Order: sequence, then C-alpha cells, then structure tokens
Amino acid sequence: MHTWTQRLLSAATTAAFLLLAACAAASALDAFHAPSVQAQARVTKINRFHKQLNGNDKVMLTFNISANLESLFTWNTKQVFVFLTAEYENSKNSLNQASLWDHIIPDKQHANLHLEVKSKYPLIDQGSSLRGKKVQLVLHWHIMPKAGVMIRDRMPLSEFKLPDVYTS
Amino acid sequence: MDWQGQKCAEMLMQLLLVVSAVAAFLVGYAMADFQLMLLVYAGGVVLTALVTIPNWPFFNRHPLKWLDAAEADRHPRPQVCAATTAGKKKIGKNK
Amino acid sequence: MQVRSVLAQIISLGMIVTSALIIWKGLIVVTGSESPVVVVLSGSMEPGFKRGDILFLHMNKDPIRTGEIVVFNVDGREIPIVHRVIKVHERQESTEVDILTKGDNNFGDDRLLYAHGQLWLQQHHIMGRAVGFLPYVGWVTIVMTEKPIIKYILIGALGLLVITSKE
Repeated sequence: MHTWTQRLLSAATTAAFLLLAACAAASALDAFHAPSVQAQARVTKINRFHKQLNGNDKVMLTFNISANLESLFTWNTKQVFVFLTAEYENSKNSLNQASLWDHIIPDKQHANLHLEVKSKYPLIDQGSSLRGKKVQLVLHWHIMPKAGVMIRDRMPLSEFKLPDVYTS
Repeated sequence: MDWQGQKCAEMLMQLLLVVSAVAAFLVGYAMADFQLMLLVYAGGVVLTALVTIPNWPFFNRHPLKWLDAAEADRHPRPQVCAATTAGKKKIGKNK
Repeated sequence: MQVRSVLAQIISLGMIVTSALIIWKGLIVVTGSESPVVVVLSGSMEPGFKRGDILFLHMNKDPIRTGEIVVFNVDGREIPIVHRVIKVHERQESTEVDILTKGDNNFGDDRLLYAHGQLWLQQHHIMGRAVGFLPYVGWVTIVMTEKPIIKYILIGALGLLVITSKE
C-alpha cells in the first residue's frame, strides 16, 4: 500500500469484486420473485394445410393471443422473450415441439399483449401425422437479466385439433 | 505515506467500497433501477479512489522518528541484544 | 539470499498461473461443458446478447427444449455459435433428437449456417446451454484477440508487476 499504483490496483480489484457481488445479489433476488402470468391463446383459422413434396405435413395457422406478462419484469430484467409452441406426440417421435411465433418484450409497458397473428414459423411435421392430430399450444417465456441467471418457464394453454383432410 | 497512513488508507478503501456497494444496491432495488445502482456505485468508486489513492497530507501525520546520528553515537551498541535475536532465529530454524 | 528471493518470485508467478488453470478446469468439471464461459462474437442474438457479453454454459443430461439458448459446433466451422432452439423432435424408441436453431435477430433459421445438406443438429453438436449472462466483460478477450500487441503488453506488465513487487 506504499505506492499509489499499489493502492489503485487494490481498489480496482476490490471494486470489481464488489460489483460482481452486487450483480449476483440482484440475480439471486430474482429467484424469489414469483410472477403470476395470465394468458390465453387459441387457433382462429387454418390458412393452409398440405403435404409438402418431401412428404412432410405443413400447416399455416392464425391465432389469437392475450397474455399479461407484466409480473415477469423485475429491476434486473433486460427483456422477456415470449414464444408459442405447438407440442404433440406421434408414432415416430415422443415429443415434437415447434415454435409458431415469438416476440421480444423490451419493457414492462409493452408486456400486456392482445394480438391476432399469423404463425411466424409454419408448423412442419417430421412425416405426415398431422391430419386429425390434437396439438397442445404452450406459451413459453425466457427472461433475460441485465446480469445473472436466465429464467425459463412455460404455461400450457389450449388444445386444438387439426382437420382430417388437407385444405389443398 | 507513513505506516499509520497506509493502514488507514486500506481500511478506508475497503470500508468506502463496501458501503457504496451496499448503498448502491439498496438504492437500485428501492427505485427498481439497475442503471441507477451502477451509477451510484461508480460514484462511490470514484470517491474512494479520490480519497485513498493520492498521497494526501492526511496520511502523513505519523512520520517515523529516527534517532539522529549524534544521539546514537553517544550510546554503546546493544551487542548482546543483537546476539540473542540471532540465536533465537537459529533456534526457530532448527525446529 | 538474492537467488532465494528470485526463486520465491518465480514460485508466486507460477502459483498465479496454476490457480487460474485450476479455476478453469474446475469450472469445466462443475458445469460439464468443455468451455464453461463463452464470449458473444456476433450480433445475431441482439438485443438479448450483444457482441462482448459473456455467457456461462451448463451441460447436463436434461433434454434440450425449445426456447433454450444453446452453444453448438457445426462440422467444418471453427467458431461455435450461440443461438436459440426453435424446434425439437425427440424419437420414441431412441434417445436421438433433432434440433433446429435460429438467432433472435436473424430473419430465417440456421439451416444456411449448418454443414451443406444438414437439416438438424444432433445432441453431439451441442456444447452447452446458456444459463447465466454478464454484459461487456468479454470485450477484454475480443480486444486481445484482435489486437495481439495489447495482449503481450498486458502479460508483460503483469509479469513485471509480480516479479518486481516486494512483500
């Protein structure tokens, strides 16, 4: 501690360590945050349902989403990545999980969603098992912190049944 | 910077940094503003650096008082004493 | 006595190097990922991850699910990619799994980034899933890899500091 360079080094080390500790503490507090999410989603229209040339079923959907995700936000939240998946089982796969739509919510003011959207990603099966298939819609969210641990959670919403015949 | 000053500077540095980190965290949490926490902490760090890094006169109030040469010459050297400390050191090493 | 103090300095330098190595290898064991910390190099996950942010990876037996951010290696590409999983197909009778990824900031999915003709990622492509995040810290390594001179200056300065510092 005799020279100023030594004191500078010591101060910088301590300051960096404490900053890390503060970030860790902020992230640790998030673990105790219990959000309450209300959400609904249902398919309103099947735009196109057909078999691709490679033999895979492909569906384009329109759906209605209303979700209040305001309670997910804490002071350590940078953004919330919210997305909707279709999940189902078929003879080939024990789980098929396909993203249909996703959205980045930058802050709490934009966290109350009421949307009618077309699927951003078509639902494409591995094979052709979608005719008459019951599919579960699940809302997922992925909370990205300003610093610390990322949090994921999900909420199963409605089920819907695909038609027994292709539309085209 | 004298010995007392160095001790004081180190204590002050750690105290100020911890206090500013805790204060920043509390302010940030209370105002639900992460940016504010960083700003308050940065302020604390700058303050700490200004207080403890330069060699302020404040840290030099306990200069070591050396015996001046004339005074030292008037007294015989404490030979015996030096011998015993040397002996002690040897004993310590043999262990 | 002079030799002795020089030796002591060399040992303390060695201790710093080995303890850094111990921490790194320890992290590998704890997280189960071969590179527990990665630096984001591209803007394909913006605004979530920017260039220079660092991610902490974790790898365990839990199956990969949609929405997770994974780090994967593509055959024939040296630099691993950090993107989000948007599709998962898990087989009935085997543990085989097909995974499709996409960067949040990219328009389309990652099939163009995969090896030629590759449609899906398999489990063995995945190096780890991102669990933690720290902004900006990775700039240190980006600057050092892009401007190697700075790296040598830094290493030299640190070495000098350790060698010359007296207790």
